[in-house]
Amino acid sequence: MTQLFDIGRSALSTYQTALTTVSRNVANANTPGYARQSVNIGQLAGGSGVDVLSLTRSADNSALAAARDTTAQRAQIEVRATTLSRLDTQISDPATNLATPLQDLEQALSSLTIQPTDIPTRQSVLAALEQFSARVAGLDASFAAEEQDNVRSLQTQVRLAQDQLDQLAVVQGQLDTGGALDAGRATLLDQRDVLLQDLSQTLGVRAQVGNNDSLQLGLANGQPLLQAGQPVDFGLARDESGQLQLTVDGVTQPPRVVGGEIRGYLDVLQNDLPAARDSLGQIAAGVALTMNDFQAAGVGLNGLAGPDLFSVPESQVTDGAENTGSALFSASIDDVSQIPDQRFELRFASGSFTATDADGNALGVTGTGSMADPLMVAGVALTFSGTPDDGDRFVVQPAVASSVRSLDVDPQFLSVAAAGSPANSADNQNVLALQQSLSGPLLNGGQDDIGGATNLWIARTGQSAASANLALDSSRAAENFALDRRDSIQGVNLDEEAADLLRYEQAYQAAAQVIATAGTLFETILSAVRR
Amino acid sequence: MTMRITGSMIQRQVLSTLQRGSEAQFDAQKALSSGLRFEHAREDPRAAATVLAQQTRLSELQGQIQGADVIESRLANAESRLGSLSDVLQSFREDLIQAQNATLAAGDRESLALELRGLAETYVGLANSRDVEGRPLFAGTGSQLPFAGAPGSYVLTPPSAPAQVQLGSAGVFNLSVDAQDLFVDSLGTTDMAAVLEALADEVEANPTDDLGRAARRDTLDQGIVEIDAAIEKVVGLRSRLGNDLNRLDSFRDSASLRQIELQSDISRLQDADVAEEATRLAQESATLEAARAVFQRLSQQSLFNYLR
Repeated sequence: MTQLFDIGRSALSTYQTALTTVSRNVANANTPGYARQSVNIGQLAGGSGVDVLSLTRSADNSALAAARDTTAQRAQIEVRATTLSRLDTQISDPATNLATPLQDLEQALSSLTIQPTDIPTRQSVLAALEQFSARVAGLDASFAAEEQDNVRSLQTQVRLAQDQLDQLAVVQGQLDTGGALDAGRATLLDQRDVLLQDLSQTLGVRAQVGNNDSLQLGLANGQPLLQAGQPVDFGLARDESGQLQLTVDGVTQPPRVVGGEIRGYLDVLQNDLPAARDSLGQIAAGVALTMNDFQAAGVGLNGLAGPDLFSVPESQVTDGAENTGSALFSASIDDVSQIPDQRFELRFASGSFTATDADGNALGVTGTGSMADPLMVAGVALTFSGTPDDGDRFVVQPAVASSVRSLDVDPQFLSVAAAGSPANSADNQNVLALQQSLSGPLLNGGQDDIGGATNLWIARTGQSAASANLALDSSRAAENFALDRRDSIQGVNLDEEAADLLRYEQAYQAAAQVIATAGTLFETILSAVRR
Repeated sequence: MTMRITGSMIQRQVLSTLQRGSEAQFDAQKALSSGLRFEHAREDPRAAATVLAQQTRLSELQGQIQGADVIESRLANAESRLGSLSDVLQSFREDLIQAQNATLAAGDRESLALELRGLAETYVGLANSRDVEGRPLFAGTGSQLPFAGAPGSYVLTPPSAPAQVQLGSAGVFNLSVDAQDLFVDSLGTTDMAAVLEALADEVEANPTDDLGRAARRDTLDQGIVEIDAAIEKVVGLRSRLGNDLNRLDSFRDSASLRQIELQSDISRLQDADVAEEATRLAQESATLEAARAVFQRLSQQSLFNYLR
């Protein structure tokens, strides 16, 4: 008889726990990172009833890892695709691009060959050049703003990663104290999954879960992020080439070992933005130097060679942060047709200089670097004072766009006529020569004319943005697939819970009925005895 | 085992459908309002590259077409001046023939000479014509008028060769008339103003003996030959001008054809097909609507609705 009561009571408390679990699932159906819980019910020893043997948390480590990895991938691509789309908008929009003023220049020069002395026609050539200069400045300023934005976002993300890691360390510390899986521990595990997922989005970490919920957390190169349970310190520092890099406890980490949004910002800051600025500088320098050469090669209406139309484009040399020598470089463009559309690096080792371009290819170096015999690298002439030490590095930007500005020139001083023509000549030979050189091989080692190089740059940027957007689409699909897989394992289906609710409710009612029946039996016996 | 579908999966699914739908709807709307199939290179990099190249060609061509108009007006202007120049020389010639009449009285000769000097002045005036910019019409690339000084003492600055341009495949065009040997006599030694004024002096002169009269006849005969040669030069120039104007016309015809080709190329690549975009907009709107309705239905459905 008492066994009947005991069995009924064990069933009541078991199904109460089961119902609690179901209600927790229902309540947390929309909680991010929540892993569905279920109870394992089994017989008590000796057949004395039923009990909750254990709580199960439906989480799958490989599904969680796939979700983290695809999210990191997507976040990285998304940052880059967003920036590239913005760059493309600036570079290709008819209201801001370089192609439009160059087309205007082309048209104005065509008119000028036919009306060599007409002042309004000369003015229209100058107007096209001014427009070109204004757009170069506008693009350069927006690239600079883009760079600042990206640096700020990078700093924000690094701080965010630090916060996430710190919280993770706290949660992991609590998990490391051990214990059986109960509702409290399950909540900690949920929190850890959310933090790992978030940290992957920011930083793209590698996480390995071991026995007793232990955690191995690191970067792709194995750099651990939790050391004896303590979080490492993230930071940002400029490396020897002047690039911002992530540091872990003060040690610079190569960009390839990180992922997520931070990697996206590093990629943009190290590759896409400098490439855009250098291409802009190359085209601006090409136009400026060609126009200045044109002015010097002919004569204006006063019979004299014309003044420069543009300021002289400058090159820039940045010393490596870890240089120990005293070498101080200055650089200028020697042959604009040979300058690359990206910066290159000069390195001093065992008494001589070597140069590599942005893709890591070696560039030819001649000369000694003295005033009389400058170092010649890819159309740039470099001289230095002081002495470099072994291992010193210098980053050379062949043409700085911001140094190219159009100058105020009176239209009558435009050198339309061939040199030697008298004042007021209606000769057009110098402007014909200019047209010839503008449509001739002027840039990229004599491969492209200026208009062609500009169009190529616009198309290439558009292509990069289009590819990045395509990659973003497919990485989103991969991420959604992984998240769906994760959720199908650990997510809550309300219909399923409703069914469980019914099932456990019925079982609970049945158990209650057992106790009621035991009560009736007891009554029966009592009344039998009373007689 | 069947896949467990959770609320978050449905939400993610619907959300991404809605996002894609809104994006497509936005694109179609943008294309319809701007009339452009793409605005930035990333939307169609290959077409964008072609459009840029075609636009460069187009602006070059438009520059040439405008230039052809300028050249044409300048050459047409020169042609009409050359017509007047030939008329002046013709009148001069007729007066010379009249002057050969031995019976003319001294007074008649004087008035003939006066007329001839007037014609010579007109000749110089025409040679010193200016174009709309105010530059000498017959000076080539030079800026000095061919004749300087006063009647009776004109000084000729021989014109230089005119500047030239190449207009597409139509060939090379002079920007003005090539008047390098227009204002000198057949030997190329004396300027025509001097020749004309000398002839006027000869007409006015009044030789008293037969020898002098014979000499005058010879001079006047020689003068007529010289003027014939000058007229021939003008006519030759005019016919060359006519030829240039014809070439300009045919250049303009082919250039405007090429312009239309380029424009339609650009338009084909970059302009939105309004019918297509409108259809797409309607389609995307319908899809979007459906996705919203589905989400509404799915989010209402639950077994809990049936539990009491």
